[in-house]
Amino acid sequence: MTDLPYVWRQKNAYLQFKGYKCKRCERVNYPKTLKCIECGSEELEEVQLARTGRVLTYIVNYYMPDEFDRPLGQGVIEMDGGGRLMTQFTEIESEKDIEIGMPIEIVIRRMSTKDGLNYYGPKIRPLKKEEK
Amino acid sequence: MRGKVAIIGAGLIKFGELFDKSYYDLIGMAANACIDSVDKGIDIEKEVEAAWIGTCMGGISAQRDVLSGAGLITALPYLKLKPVTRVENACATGSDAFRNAAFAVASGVYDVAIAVGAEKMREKEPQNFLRYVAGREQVLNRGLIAPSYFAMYANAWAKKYASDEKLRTYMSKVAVKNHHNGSLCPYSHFMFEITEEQASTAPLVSYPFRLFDCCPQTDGAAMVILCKAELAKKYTDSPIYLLGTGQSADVYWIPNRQSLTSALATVMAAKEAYKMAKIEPKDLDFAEVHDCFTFTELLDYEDLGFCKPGEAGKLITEGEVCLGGRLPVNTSGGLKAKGHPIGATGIGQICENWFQLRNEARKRQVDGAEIGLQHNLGGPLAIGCVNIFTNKKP
Repeated sequence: MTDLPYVWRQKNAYLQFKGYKCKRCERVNYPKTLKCIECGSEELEEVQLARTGRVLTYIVNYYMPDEFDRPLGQGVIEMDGGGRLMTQFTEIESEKDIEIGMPIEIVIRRMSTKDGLNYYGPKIRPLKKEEK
Repeated sequence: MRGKVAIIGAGLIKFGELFDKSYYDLIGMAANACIDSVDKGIDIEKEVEAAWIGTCMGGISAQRDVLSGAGLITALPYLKLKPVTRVENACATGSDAFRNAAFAVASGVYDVAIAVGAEKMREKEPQNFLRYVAGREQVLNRGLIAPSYFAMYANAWAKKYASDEKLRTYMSKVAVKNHHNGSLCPYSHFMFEITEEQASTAPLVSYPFRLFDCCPQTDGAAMVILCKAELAKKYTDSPIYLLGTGQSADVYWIPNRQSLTSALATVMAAKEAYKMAKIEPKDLDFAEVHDCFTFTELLDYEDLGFCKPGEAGKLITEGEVCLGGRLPVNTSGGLKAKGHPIGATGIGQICENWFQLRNEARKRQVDGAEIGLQHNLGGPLAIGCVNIFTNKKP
């Protein structure tokens, strides 16, 4: 469970979309971590991730509890300039709106509400033709 | 390790929606079947020295929490005050419990040990289970459920090696095969057959998975008795032997993986097990592999070395993995039809190895089977576990 303290510790990653670049192997970690997931180094510097990237893979959930948008798209994406994450899509209607390799942008949206608190974080928005 | 450990008894209950049985009832019934299977008999209270219980969702899926080894004593009082360890390792829970029991016997500390796996998946309403899993995260990864993880790989695999349409056909063929095998297996949750059309037109669950691509939620329990190989003939003239074992844990989150079209946890676990067993995939006579989703089975063919990367579709299309084929896969019906009571799944697959290697699998028997494999892939394709068995003393 990602309770409030966890989300607070990740506030720069979730709300400002910061990544954590390894000085040794140049891997961009996301979200924040003590040790680089690639090489284990603790020499990480906070960097601004690009807002744009591309889809590496995706799924669309049709069977979800009532509190979730349905269908719910989710994707693994790579940002331009580095940084990979897995999160929800927004502004899609079905798998027909998603393709592997397509350009996307990250938008900060409400992810959930719990105990009266709204939790915000990055969602994936497919770029429309005129926006590419 | 190779050949040092034998299985002298194995038993499981018919998997299914067992509302009238408690978690402890399931274990007790599996233990009865297992003890009955020891050809020359065993005094379980006197001869078993230690036990491992594999249960994954004990904290949420059973009415009473089964969070420690002491839970096993409630089910099997004759083990009172013996050493009991609870193992939880995602969908590899049962196979890893077995693996740890095998290490204990191979080390020489214990002559006889048991490995039990059990899970009560239907005690809670499926919607509540789903809500728990989908709601684990408040922000990143919120809404990810089991099919999401595997479907991520399925779509990446289809893009690299096939097409959405071809993948659909392959997955339907796997579903039809495993339902057919399940219809021949008296322990299977689902004992009905389906058609390719039913599989390919069922409601979408998580694109590209439809209903018949997904294993059911199932209650079940299974148990095996392990002993030092030299002692095996005291209990039976037809023991089976552990030839090789392997396990591997990958980076947990999918974006951090090296590959989105191969589960490296399976690849590395298999490599370790094949090396220990001194065999190659072509030496296998049958395999029980992790088919939580139909695509998972296709991925397993490649990661376990049954075919080259990208060629899984050929194996199912040409029937090589069907009963009567070159390498029958999931003769029990697999997780897909037999069911996936998480802790019991791996031990149940080992029971199928026991039946096949002792020529007791009846209508689903693989003629002359001498070497079999059991495989699980747990979490978001993060934990691989492989065990290899034979009926010839190594």
